[in-house]
Amino acid sequence: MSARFTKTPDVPRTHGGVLLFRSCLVSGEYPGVEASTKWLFERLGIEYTVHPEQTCCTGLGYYADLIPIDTTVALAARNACVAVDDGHPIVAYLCSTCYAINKKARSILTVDEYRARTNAVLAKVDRCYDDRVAATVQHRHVLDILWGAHQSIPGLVRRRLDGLKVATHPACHYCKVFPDEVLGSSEDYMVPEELLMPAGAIPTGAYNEKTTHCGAGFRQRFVNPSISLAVTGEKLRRLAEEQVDVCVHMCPNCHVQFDRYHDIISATRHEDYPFVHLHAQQLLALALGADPDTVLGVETHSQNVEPLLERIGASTRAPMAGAAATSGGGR
Amino acid sequence: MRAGVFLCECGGNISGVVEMEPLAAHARTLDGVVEVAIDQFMCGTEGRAMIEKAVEDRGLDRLVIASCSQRFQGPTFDRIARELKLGENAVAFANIREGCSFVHRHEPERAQEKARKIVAAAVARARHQSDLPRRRTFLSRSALVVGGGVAGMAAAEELAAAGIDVHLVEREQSLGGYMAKLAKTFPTEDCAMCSLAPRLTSTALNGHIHIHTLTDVEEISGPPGEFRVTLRHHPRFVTEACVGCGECVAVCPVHYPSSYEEGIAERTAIYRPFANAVPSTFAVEKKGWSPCKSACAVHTSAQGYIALVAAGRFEDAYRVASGPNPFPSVCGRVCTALCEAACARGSVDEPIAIAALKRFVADTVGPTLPVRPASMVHPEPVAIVGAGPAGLTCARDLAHLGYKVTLFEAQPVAGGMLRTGIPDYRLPHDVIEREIGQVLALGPELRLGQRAGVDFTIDGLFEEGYGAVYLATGLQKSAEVDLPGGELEGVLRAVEMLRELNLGGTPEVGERVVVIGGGDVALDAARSVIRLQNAAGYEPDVTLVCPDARLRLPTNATQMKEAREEGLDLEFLMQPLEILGTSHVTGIKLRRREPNASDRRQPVPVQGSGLELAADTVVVAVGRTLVDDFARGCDGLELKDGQIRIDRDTMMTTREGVFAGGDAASVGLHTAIEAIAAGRRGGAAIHDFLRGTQLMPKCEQRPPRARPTAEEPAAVETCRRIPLAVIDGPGRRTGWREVRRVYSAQEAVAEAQRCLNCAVCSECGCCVRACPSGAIDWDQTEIVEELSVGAVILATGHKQFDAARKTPLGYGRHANILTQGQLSRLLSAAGPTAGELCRPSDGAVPRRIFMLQCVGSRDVTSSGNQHCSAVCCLFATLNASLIKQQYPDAEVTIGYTDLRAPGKAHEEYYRLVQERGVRYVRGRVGEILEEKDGSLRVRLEDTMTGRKQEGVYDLVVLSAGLEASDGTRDIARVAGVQTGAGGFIREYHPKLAPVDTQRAGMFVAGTAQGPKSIPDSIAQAKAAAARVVAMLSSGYTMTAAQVAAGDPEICIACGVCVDACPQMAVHLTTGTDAHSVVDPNICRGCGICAAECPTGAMQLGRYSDAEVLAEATV
Repeated sequence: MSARFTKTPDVPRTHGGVLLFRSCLVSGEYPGVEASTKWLFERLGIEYTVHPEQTCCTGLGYYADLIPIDTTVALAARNACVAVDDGHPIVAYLCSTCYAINKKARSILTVDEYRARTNAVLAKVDRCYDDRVAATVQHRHVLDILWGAHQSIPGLVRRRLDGLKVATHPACHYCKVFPDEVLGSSEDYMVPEELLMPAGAIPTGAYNEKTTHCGAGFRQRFVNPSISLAVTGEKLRRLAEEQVDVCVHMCPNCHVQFDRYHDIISATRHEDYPFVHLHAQQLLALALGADPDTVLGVETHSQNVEPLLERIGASTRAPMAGAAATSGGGR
Repeated sequence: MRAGVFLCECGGNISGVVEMEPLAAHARTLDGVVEVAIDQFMCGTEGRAMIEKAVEDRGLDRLVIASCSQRFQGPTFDRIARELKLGENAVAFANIREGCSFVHRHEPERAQEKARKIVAAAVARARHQSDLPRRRTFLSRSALVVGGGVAGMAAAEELAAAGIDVHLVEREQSLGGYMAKLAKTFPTEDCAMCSLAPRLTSTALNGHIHIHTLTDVEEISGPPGEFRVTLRHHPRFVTEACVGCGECVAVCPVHYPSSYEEGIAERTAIYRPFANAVPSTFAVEKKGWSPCKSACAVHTSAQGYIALVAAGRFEDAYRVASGPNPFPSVCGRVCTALCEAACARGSVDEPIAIAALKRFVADTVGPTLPVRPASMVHPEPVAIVGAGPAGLTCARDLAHLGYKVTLFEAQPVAGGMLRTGIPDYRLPHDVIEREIGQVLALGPELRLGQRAGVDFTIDGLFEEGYGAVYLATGLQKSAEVDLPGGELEGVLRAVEMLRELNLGGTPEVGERVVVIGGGDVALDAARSVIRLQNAAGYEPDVTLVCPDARLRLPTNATQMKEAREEGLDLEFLMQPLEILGTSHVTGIKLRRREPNASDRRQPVPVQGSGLELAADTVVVAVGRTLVDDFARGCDGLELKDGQIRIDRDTMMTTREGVFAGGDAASVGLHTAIEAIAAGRRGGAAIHDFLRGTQLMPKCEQRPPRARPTAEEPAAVETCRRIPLAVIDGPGRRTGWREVRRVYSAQEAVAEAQRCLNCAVCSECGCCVRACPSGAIDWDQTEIVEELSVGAVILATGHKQFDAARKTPLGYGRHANILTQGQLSRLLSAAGPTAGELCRPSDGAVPRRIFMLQCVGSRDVTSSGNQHCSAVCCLFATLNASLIKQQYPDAEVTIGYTDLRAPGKAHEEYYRLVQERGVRYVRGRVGEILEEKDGSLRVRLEDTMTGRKQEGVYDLVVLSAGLEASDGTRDIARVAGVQTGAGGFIREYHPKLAPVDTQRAGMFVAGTAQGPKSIPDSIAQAKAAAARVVAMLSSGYTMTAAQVAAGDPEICIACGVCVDACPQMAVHLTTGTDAHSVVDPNICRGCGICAAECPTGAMQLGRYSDAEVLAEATV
């Protein structure tokens, strides 16, 4: 009657000039996500850098009403200058909050008054967000970059994910803040699943509550935990109905909400949610042969992902013979 | 120049802001102005008289009209000038209304100054205006109406009533369009088909209307009045002999979602969408050859027998599977199955198990069907040398054609390599013998133990009176072993070893065996040796040394898995260097190879990688060669590289009357199915030769390969293939029992139901046999027809917005969500449920129903359309009303954005339906969730009260909006007319020319122009018809004055204008003085070509460079 899912259109491959924008949440909670991304960039031949002068996007502080918008915009402008001046103008985000807030700052900076006020501050650090920077800098999610290289993936698969049913939890700040700039459908985002399909993963496509948010709501997780976790629980219940094996994430904030609270919600609601949470880059790197310990960093997860690893022959207790287990790192 | 300036007050619209007398005083000062006059309405009778008098008294040759815009009154003053014999370009317009008094109403001083400038500019341009030519074109008194929906039919009937010949073109199989699908129509709730059927009949019977269904318009060229139209008629595959009895539908095994039933019911590949269809002839939907049929060497319609298996009709399936192939049971076991490699289902999950299904039908039905001898109709006997698959197939085909055939076979059994080369566990002897028996039952005589060149000669056969000889002797000998030690004791040849085994012998093998080879023969030999070792009491110890990696190909995966389970060791990419030993084999020396980047078929050796394997037996399977005894006593036969040289087209050898095929011939591959294909080609070639027809190429013209679109596989739910049971690995070593089991009937049906029906019609032939009128004609092809018509009406309609694009609403995922179109089919007495409302998941009557409006309409997201679809509010209201009347207990809620009911009696109808108990809630829905019992949870915000609501419903119906149909988008491209938002055809002027397009002589009607109701569509169709009648009734038309023209002296023939013209009115002449030429009949005077022209050669009438510059620089 209709499509199981809408296929994501092809986009040009990015060969280099990528600045991998580090994320506070990724570094603090799941450093393996960053390592997996670096590992994938290297495996796929995408030249990138990690810049020591890049700063926090301030998203968490901004959404918690701790940091004023001017500060956020000024730092976004400065980070854009860092990327362009370094010759790596394609800024790739691990976190959808970083992605959206930097993109939003870009539109704010088209207003002369805001740009002048921002540049007055940037002048103190010898930076200037001028037309050259504005026209050169590109803001992309890491998955946008990986999708550009998806045609190389079938030839690089080293661990089959046959029979593994994966579902995407689409990050709100990627899909809903700039819906027209999403790769494919903003209401049925499929890039993570389509990246994993060459390895044999079974896509879930659209499911009940797919577009519902993770429940984290920045400080809501702490100030209104009952509401926050109720939303998360509802989503977990829907994912369990779909009989998924892995829920794949694209934002560390969602990942924290699901991974850290999965077992707690399961216990308090007396419901079993028999699946685990991984970041999209982690599962893709696993399929391409990355080491679950040194690259994926699964020991930082709250959930026990060992049964999953065993199922696909990637147990941390028995590393795959011959698998290249580089630990990532800059160019 | 003697110009008169005529200032219009426009009843105060102008004079209320601009003071006319000072403006007149200024105009009088302008160079060339000899008369200035003011009037309240210059376009009125007094104004016209004033102009006439001034022209006569003052000898004016230019008129400067200072009034409203040229678009409003241009034609009025042009006509006055024409009647006063001032030519076609004597009027200059000074727009002091829209461009001045209207916009500067509150700043009269600036308006006065601007008016002075506008008038001065018009006077300046008037000086450069010169007469323009116009041409008369005679019109063809016929019209083309594209689209056979209600609008197209209305327009066609109106034109026919005016005596105009109409070609009514419809892409679908029947006229009727979207209205034919509706249960009832609003606001009167009368049956849609009852209103439409009389129109269908009267259109069909109208002598002035020529109906072309299943037809596309490919090109429309030429000027209005004499359009040249190219039509492409797609084959219907059913002739007019069809009496509409429907016998074909009962036997067609292919079931496909019916687009007429909006996908809620299926139809067969041969079908008629509805009972009143016009024309009433059935049609076959055929997309070409399915991928499986294209890939098969004998083009067996695998889709055909799979569809029949899915329908549980195994006997019919066997007839299709065995039609081109006398060995379906054999091929179901040993075929390379290129059909499976090509199977489109492979892009979803796994290919259909085509070979296993073929085996199922052949094993189940084959033994039960009696074979009757074929009757002899031709006098010439034919001799076939070699009773392998090629020879036996050739014999069967010739027997069917009525020839007496004698088969000569050197071996004591028939079947060739199938019988002597393939072990029992893979192809049981009784299976091949049964199928050989079926060939012989047709009449061919089999003489065993007859070796050509020894027991008889080819020359001798001709002397005995045979009309033709077919050589299918195969390659019966192992190739020489080109290895040191090849002559040692313990070295066996695979072909000979397998032959001994299959003829009942027991070849002697040792305890440690190495088999060399990379193909099927090597694998068969190795797996046979395992069984021989077992019989001899040894533990299996066999290593297959493959020089290449062919066996690793996915097509061999199952065989490889089975071989490993039996205990076979495999070494790939190993090059044998020497067989070791003094008198008896003791081992083999090998060297490792690696893939070659430049040529994957030629791996290269790895230096220093030598190793030795101990062995007491080495079986060599590295190719087969021809036993060429038959050449003795056959003059004129040539061999080429160890095979018989034949002509690729005629299958004939270098000796007249002698044909060859299969492995022995120089053409073809060495697989069973290729040999069968060669036998078929050979039979056809011999028939041609003996019947004296010219030996024609035997490579048939293949129809296009039908492949699903990229999106179609994505829409299919995954379902992996039904696994085929096998005997367990160690157990099967102990005997020669067949390893793979056959599907059960239940498994076969389930597996067959995975087929995607790529080509729709599978060419199974069931309808051909069932049709009592002999109306089915598979030889029909596309026909291209050219017409000449005077005018064109585009009525190509709309399509429903694909509600699945609004993913969160769950359409297509959740069973109990329908569109209004689907609901309409359910509520139709002629629909699939005969008007009973039932929900798709369980057939229950829904009690709580929610209808959601504006799905894909009034939507600013990228997945929807911004326009309002105009009819959905009333369509939902109608369907809700029908439900409430039929099921008074049902609760129907309509969630709407704004309720729009502006048509005649629509608001009253809306109120009536409210009174009938339908509930309207103002609010949009974000997501629809499916509960475990199939019910649907709908959350919405009531925007009247601001409250959130949540309800659980049995059925949700989406009011999916209207979009331009694919036909509308296509015809817009072909006709060169502009489209606007949503892809609908743009009218020439939204108010003043609502049915004209920007191409003269082409008009638009119905939902091709935009969403509208049935009465509006018909009204617009009749308006378009009236425009055509008006255009064609005079018999001729004049070209416009405002058209472009190129100056050939300046033109450099760069072609920029040709590319720029949206009407395709410009072309370049050829030759040394090439230049651009504008067809004034087609040109609509937009001026894009003149603006783009780099040399200034192209000028637009009324807007020449001189005129525009004079106006702009005054």
